Amino acid sequence: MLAYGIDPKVIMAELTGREAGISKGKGGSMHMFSTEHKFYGGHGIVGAQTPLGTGLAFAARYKWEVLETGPKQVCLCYLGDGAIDQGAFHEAKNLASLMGIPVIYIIENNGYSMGTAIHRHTANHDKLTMRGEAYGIKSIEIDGLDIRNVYDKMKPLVDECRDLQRPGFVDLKTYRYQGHSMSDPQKYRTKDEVDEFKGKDSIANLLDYLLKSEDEGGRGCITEDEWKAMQKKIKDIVMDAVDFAENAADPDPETELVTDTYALPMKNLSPSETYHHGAKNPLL
Amino acid sequence: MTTAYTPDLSKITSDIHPAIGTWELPTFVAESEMPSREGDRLIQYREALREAMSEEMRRDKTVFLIGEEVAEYNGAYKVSQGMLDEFGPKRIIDSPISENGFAGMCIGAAMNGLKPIVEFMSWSFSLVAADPILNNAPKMLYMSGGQWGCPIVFRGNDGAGGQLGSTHSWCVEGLYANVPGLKMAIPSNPYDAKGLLKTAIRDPDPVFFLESERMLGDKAHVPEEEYYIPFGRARVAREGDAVTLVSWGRPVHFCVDAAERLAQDGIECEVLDMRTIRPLDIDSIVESVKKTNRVVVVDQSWPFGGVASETISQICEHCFDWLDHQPVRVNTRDVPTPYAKGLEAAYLPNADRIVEAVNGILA
Ligand SMILES: Cc1ncc(C[n+]2csc(CCOP(=O)(O)OP(=O)(O)O)c2C)c(N)n1
Ligand SMILES: [Mg+2]
Repeated sequence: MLAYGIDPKVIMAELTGREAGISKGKGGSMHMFSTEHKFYGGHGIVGAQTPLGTGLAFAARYKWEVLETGPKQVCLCYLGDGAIDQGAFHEAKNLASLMGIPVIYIIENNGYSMGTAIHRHTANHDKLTMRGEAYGIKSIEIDGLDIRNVYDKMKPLVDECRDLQRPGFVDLKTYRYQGHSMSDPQKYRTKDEVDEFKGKDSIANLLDYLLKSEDEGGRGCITEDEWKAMQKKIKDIVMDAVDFAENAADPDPETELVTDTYALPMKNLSPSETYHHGAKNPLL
Repeated sequence: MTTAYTPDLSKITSDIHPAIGTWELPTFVAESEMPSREGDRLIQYREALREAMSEEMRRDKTVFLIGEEVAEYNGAYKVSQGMLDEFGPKRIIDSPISENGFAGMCIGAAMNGLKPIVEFMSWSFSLVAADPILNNAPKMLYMSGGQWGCPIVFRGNDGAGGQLGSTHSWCVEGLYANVPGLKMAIPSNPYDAKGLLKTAIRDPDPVFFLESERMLGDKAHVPEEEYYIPFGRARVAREGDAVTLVSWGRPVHFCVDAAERLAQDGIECEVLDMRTIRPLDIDSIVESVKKTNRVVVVDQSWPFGGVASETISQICEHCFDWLDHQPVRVNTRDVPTPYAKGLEAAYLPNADRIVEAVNGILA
């Protein structure tokens, strides 16, 4: 969401369930959306976002081809390595390839589905691209710890999928340092393993490249001082977001509890709550 | 026939949520101004559905139909016969047997500006799509804090088709009507099928539209002109003052049959066809119960926590003091749907059981 340019304040406010949150505190950590930034969720059911992403791309193609009102577009649909085990994803890939739907499934493969290592949760785990190829989808593997490499490999794929109106599949190899959630004692992996990956950290790698001079094989476009200032700025943004969320008001049940349930509300859609407490019935 | 109650039309055509953007609502008229139900343009229920879809697809290019066998096969039940010829394969789309996949895909398409009509060959098969149709479609508007709605119609056969056994005979209204955020229509005849389906397609919320394999061949007069039946307006299928029979979908016919038999004994029942379950036109029920003081609710889904239970709760909440007898319900029997003809007949609600219920109340 941050990469889509969404204000960290409204994200933090949603995480903490405030009215100023991006979903007014009604979506929560797993259900965040932004019409403004064309960010379509946030879906709490692992794997369920894959048919949805396919549908967003279906509509984009329909607008281009049938309605002739839009340009060729492509949808990026992210999922975890755990999500690839869901049946919905297999159905989505089949539909996308069959119908020529411009959606790119990006597997953020961090090696774990919660606490279950990839070799324990999915068959043929070292050849995930087969899962795309099996459906006739162009499938590539990308080392996600090298950011420049990610750009170099993704750019042509995105262009191709948009241009040919075809789906794509990316096994994007990455890692996570923290636990899956607040309550994760991480018994399923060693500290050595985590440290090994910290030694290959993608941000540290990029920084190294940006700091090093061109003679040393880098870019030499920022200085240590600039980097320190940048870090301070990032910290300030995060602390501002935390302050904003902590001081933001909770959603008001009087106004927010029942709104946004229907786009076209009607009488008698819900049982009347008046009578649950034995109040007098105005119909009598 | 006239209705006992005319809802406030201004309430039906209230403002559309801003998440939906520009949206053209049809014009709803009072029941008395609707085109006549009498006439000689007799067409089948399935043709009425087809007319509704075709008219709306001609009007609005963002509407498309997808489902198993809807295109080249001309519809597993011939509902979409000929539509591929008229609209082409980009708008009448054959899907693989992937309910979870294509239902979810169409929800994504609805979020991105299209108005999909998703045909389930049978609502029984929607169970493998329960996650997208219950978790995504009806909750999208709420979970996004009003940023995205989901204008989509899911439709297909509901209820026992006749000796199809337990997995193929689902009445999903008992399960699905529980979920806020969706609307549900269950037409009992061709005239209503056309008018309600047109309204469903024009409605900006997810609509669950429950048809019946057993009624697809039923014929009745259906006006050629366009008309829209507002949701939440029950139809008085028969007038009477002894007992109110409340139902929706196919069992409305059982109620009418029962009422005609009871009339031979001088017992005049009023039959209300609810037409939509969400919204449920409780006002019309109350109006009728105030006259009859007795009510039987007939529901072809299971009794435990079902639509009849909900209807009876609301009746008790709204007009308990007007009742001379506790409300009575006639449901299917509380067992999985049997296969054998005789067992299935004993399982379903029917006119005999309704007559028995009415006689029990009046005894
Ligand atoms: C259908 C479903 N089952 C279980 C969960 C609980 N759950 C949430 S995240 C998760 C693990 C997901 O792993 P992965 O897809 O690899 O994503 P990651 O967190 O590693 O990015 C599980 C089991 C869920 N949200 N949805
Ligand atoms: Mg993972």
